[in-house]
Amino acid sequence: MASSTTVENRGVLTVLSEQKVLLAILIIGIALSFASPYFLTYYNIVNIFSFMSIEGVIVIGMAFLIIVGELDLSVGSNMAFATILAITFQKYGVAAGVIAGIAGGTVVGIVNGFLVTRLKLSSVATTLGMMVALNGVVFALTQSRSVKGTNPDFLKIAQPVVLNISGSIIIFLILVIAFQIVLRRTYFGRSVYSVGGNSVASRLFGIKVDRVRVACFTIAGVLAGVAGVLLAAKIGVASGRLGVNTALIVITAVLLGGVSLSGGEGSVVKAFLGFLLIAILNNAMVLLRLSSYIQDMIRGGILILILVIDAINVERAKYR
Amino acid sequence: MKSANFLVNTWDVFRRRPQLLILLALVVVLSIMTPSFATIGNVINIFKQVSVIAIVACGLTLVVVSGALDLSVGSAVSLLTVVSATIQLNNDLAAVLVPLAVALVLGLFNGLIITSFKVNPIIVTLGALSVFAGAALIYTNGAIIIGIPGTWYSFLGQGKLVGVPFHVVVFIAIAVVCEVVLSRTKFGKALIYIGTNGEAARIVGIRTRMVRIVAFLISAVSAAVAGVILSSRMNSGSPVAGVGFEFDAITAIVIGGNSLTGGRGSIRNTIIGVLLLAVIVNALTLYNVPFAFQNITKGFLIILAITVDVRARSKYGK
Repeated sequence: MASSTTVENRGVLTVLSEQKVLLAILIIGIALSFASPYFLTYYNIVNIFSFMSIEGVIVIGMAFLIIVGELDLSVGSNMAFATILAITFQKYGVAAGVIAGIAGGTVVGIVNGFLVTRLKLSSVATTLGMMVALNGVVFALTQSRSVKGTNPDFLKIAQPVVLNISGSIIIFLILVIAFQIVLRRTYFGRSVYSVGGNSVASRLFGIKVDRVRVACFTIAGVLAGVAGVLLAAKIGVASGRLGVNTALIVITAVLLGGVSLSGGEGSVVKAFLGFLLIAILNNAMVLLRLSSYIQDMIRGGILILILVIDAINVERAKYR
Repeated sequence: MKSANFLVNTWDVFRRRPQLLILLALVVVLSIMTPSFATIGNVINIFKQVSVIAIVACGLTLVVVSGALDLSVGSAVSLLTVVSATIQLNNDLAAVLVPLAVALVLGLFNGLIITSFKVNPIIVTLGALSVFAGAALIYTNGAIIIGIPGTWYSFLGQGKLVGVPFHVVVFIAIAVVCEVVLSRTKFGKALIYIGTNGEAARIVGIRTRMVRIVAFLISAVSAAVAGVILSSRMNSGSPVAGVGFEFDAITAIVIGGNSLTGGRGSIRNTIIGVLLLAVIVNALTLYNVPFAFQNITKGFLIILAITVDVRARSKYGK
């Protein structure tokens, strides 16, 4: 059903859907620059990337998971978990905070991976449980309050480094490039596509299918940890209310980028473009002063719309 | 099983429903440890606490049995409770009927999109969750709508029938109706077939699309009933009243022993799950366990329950 996207075998539709996102970004961008003189300013563009830099890190991990044919609904709680760990440990030094946050996220990712592969549970149900449980853990650790970070060195991670560009934006962009290379140019990356495309065939070809799946969950966990640390540095506060909408936004971004929910195709860059489109729409909604309630609605509506378009494309591809 | 129909072996019942054993054990232990637990007052209290979630869970069970999931029920409750509360300011009867009609639209929205385009119900209803939640907030502009007290509308959530709160009666009635629909009608059988193997069900002539849409309609209508009761009970409609209901309902459904992958389940299981969840929360509260740990417990119960479910299926080779 899902054709593989090697360079020589690119379907017309895949190329088109790739361009569709870019096209949408351009059209909306041009329309916005007319609607608001503020849109195309340097400050605003940095602002868009700053919005992307936290949850964008999670988008990378979710892209790996969706390509391998799994889903993780616990990324938001996991990010909040990493945030409270980072905030708790940054008292003992910057490194302690960073390591604690990333380690926490990683452990959650590994646990998710083992639950899904060893016990053969559905990833949606498992990570749904993990999401609820972790949310409780975060509330327990914060004692249902907002916990403040105090170490100024730690908070510097998110401060502007050069030309108003913050450290988190740079880290985010480096991670996008690094993981795109991992996905496209390594044996592991090819196994991710292969397992997502056809896990039974992959097993017969000698790919350690479960190990690839656990690795993808772990990557998602590590990146949720990184996002949590960046978030902790950016806002300097941890609370149980963080990350409530994250899973929705991140999954929408990956699907919007043209990564198919049926697995086996897509890329980190596609997911990045999907999130860029969301970030621009978000920026537009702020610039046009739409209420946050309407923003929520539009986001949910977009998710449903993409699913429908994706389904129509798959259906058409069948009869091509 | 055939010959022992009337000599139901208690042990067999418990083996097939370990949840029931856990529930009974918890009840016995709690009754011994805390004398206030096993009073009629406290039992009614527990039923009072669960009735709204239980109503949502009963409707949702039909969707789950058909192999789908509806994450939008919590937001639907929020939206329908504010719809009910605002209309109640003018007309009591319309405050009950309009939410039911709106619910049909919401259910149709989910059902039509999922069946027409054959898309993942979890993701669609995740989007719908956001849309309905936003709609509820826009509708009241984030405010809480205060209702008019003392009408027959308030009886729905506050009145009593022979000492039993009226909403508990509604919950029991809905549970009975859903149970009958699921276990005694062609429609219920069709749901189970679709949950077991949708393609096979279609081939043997079941109108799978129609059946699945109706399941979503029932789920939305039960959310409407829950919303009306909530608005009547609180004498107000809050646009965030149903936040998280979907998770509580799914938790109850799963720990009651229904299969999240569909094809197997009953309202009895769901009721056991709802009560088990309520008793556990009640116990945690009695022993002053902080609120946050309730979520941790729920999360682990979900994972535990689906593990048990998968184990059981691979053992009996479903």
